[in-house]
Amino acid sequence: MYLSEDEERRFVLRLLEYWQAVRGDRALPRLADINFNDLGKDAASCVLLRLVGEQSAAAVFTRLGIRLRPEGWRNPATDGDLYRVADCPAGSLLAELIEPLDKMLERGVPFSTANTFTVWGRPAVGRRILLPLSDCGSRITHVMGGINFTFADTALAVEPARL
Amino acid sequence: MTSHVAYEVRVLRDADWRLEAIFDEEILAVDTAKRVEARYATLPVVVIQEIYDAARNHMKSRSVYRSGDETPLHAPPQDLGAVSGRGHVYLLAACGFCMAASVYFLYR
Repeated sequence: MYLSEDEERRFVLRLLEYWQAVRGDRALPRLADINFNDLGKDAASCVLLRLVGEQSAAAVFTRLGIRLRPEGWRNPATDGDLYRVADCPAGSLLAELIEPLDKMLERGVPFSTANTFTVWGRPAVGRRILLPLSDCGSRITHVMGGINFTFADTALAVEPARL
Repeated sequence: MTSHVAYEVRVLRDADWRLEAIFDEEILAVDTAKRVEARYATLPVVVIQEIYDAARNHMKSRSVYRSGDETPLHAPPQDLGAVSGRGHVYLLAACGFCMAASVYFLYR
């Protein structure tokens, strides 16, 4: 069900295609439709968020791909730690991923934008996507997200089309 | 001056152009539209480019992609006269005809 890199070289379109496949004819897929094991190595660059109340800052991460885990954060899926969006360290890759969260929640559809930022002190260009999920079928209850990047200071690495 | 460009993928369902996804890059939006088109063969799909000029608080929209050859039953949202792929062919054919006619009348 999840496309391989040979079938779709762009990370955000692989995630979007998966979201559309599990959604079927419904407006939004449910959380239970998402299986991180389906994502293969892309799972390392993905998160799942559960919305809490009206403020997006109160949302908690229930899955955190290893590439996105800020220093000192443990795995919420296995260690039971629940980190809030508000706790997300500024300047982290995770912060870059969730930066457009309010815009996505406002529109209620998959939302993908490019961004430039610094990773481990090096300039990078990235592309992220946020995908809404709904357990009740009407309002957004969870969000799936993913971000991919390449360092902008190495000529070989810059190939934004693969993002 | 600050302007923001977004590309909206919309699908015609139940007489309503429903928003499917939003991108900041045209190629991603068009490729997504094509995938949606392949998934729901009977549903028309469009990609709308929206340019928001923050300084003038002005929004400009036009369609940059339409699925299939059939004209949708309902006009795409905020379509400000984009030319479809087939429209380009007709335009080129008309230009070719005019040029040929000019040459004929000049040198006859």
